[in-house]
Amino acid sequence: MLGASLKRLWHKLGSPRWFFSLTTRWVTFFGWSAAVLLLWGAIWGLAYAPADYQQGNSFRIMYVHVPAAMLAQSLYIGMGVAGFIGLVWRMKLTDVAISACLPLGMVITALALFSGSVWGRPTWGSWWEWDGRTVSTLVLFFLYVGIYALREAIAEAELRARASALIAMVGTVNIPIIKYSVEWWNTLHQPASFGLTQKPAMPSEMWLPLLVMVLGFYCFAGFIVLLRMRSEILQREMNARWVGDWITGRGAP
Amino acid sequence: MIRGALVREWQVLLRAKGAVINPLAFLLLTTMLFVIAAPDAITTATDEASAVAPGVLWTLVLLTQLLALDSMYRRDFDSGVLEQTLVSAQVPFVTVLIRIFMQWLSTGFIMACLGPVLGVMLGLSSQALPATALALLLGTPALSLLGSVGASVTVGFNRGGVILALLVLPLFLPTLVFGADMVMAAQAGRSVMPQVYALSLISLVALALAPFATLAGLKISLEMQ
Amino acid sequence: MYFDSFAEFLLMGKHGFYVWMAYGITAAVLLGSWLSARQAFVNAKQQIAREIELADRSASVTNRDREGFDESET
Repeated sequence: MLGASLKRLWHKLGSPRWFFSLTTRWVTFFGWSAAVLLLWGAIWGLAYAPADYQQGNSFRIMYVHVPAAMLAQSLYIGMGVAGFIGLVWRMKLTDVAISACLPLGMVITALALFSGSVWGRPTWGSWWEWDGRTVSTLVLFFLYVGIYALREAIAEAELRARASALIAMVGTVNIPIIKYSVEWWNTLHQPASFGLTQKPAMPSEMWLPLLVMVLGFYCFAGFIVLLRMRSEILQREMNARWVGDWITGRGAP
Repeated sequence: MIRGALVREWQVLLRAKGAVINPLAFLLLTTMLFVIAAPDAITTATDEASAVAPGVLWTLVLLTQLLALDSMYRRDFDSGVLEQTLVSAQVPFVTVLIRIFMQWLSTGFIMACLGPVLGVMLGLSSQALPATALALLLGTPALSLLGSVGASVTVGFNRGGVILALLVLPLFLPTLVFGADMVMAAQAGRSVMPQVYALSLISLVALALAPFATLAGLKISLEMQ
Repeated sequence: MYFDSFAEFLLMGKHGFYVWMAYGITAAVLLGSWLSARQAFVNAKQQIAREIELADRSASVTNRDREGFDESET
């Protein structure tokens, strides 16, 4: 019985209209959660968390850099998973998801690179160091740009969807391989860079704000992705009756 | 069936000699350019080994592979032969695999054979030369396989070369890391076994995934025509 | 509070420039993403609303023609 209702849920997920009506409240929820969490986490991390023993106050940049880096990778993997679902189950909504994740993912990856650079300057003396994490994040940025360029080059919607899905999947499989090989490269050729992971465990006064910020960033991503998906659904289903009814206020989707 | 396909691909290869020779000429040319541009980085004195040679050699190999990939499917795509071959093939997967194998044979394999020669030109110490050949032999299949995926998706594009590079170079990165490191390790006298395992693993994973992805990409490109 | 005064908070022990730059860029990026996504949504709604209005107008013209009104649309 659970199996049958799960199957029905799965099929409903393929319906843009159902997705649109479902996410109406989610968007508001994610939006407000993001605002609250980000504000709370930022104030906590900036003003209340203790300074780092070695790095001083510059370590507070961690509270925006780490969530951005995590989100950058998660969004790409999200595109890969969406691509897989789209190719196997032929769900059109997955392409809507990919197109929604792409701009945010690119910008967040760039943010991770910038914030990491700004963090590095006062802490370790240089704006840019070629180490495992910078190279991995840079490659991730190029993976995003690749999908962006691919989508720009294909005019037909169905084919663009399938090509993006394929490349997103291939890229996602490649991410752990790249991370491992770059770490290998780093340990052999670069002096060990100080990372928070190498120090003894962070006290909770330090990582609790980080948790809040990570949750805030992810809620923000949920907010933006759902909002963009809804815009895209409206565009694609422009001629459907439910869209017209919703726009003119005659009825909810 | 496999033998027939192999024979056919071999004949195509013999006829399109340019597709084989051009990339190799490119490799030789760029190696020479580097030697001319940075003579101090290359020392051919026997007791000193060049520190940049492994990386430079591998980078040039990657770029050559990129160049060769552009024409991997294009001619058959434009002439309609590709569509026919895929439609009439009993097992399209095998057809694609044979095509990739031939591409490797005509590019990667030859680069593996020439590798030591180019290495000497770039100032590699002689003790690293066998490892260079082995590294290229183990790594270039991954380049052909992964490159084939990118080539299959971009074959229909007008200026697909740049997008091909963008899609494919991140995929090449792990092979580059371990391949260059293997040569460096051999130069320094370290053991190359970890890199051998890594390169082989990458090529095997590519072998498992790339033909399917290539087929999917070719189907997409053919529908775009 | 970790800091003793607001001035110290701003200075961040001589790292202030970097900390505030990082947080400033982050805020700008997040704000920009939100505004951009919101604009896309608003544009979609406006575009569809316009299409509906056009469709309604042409439909009403057709109806009038059918019912044989002499009045012009102005």
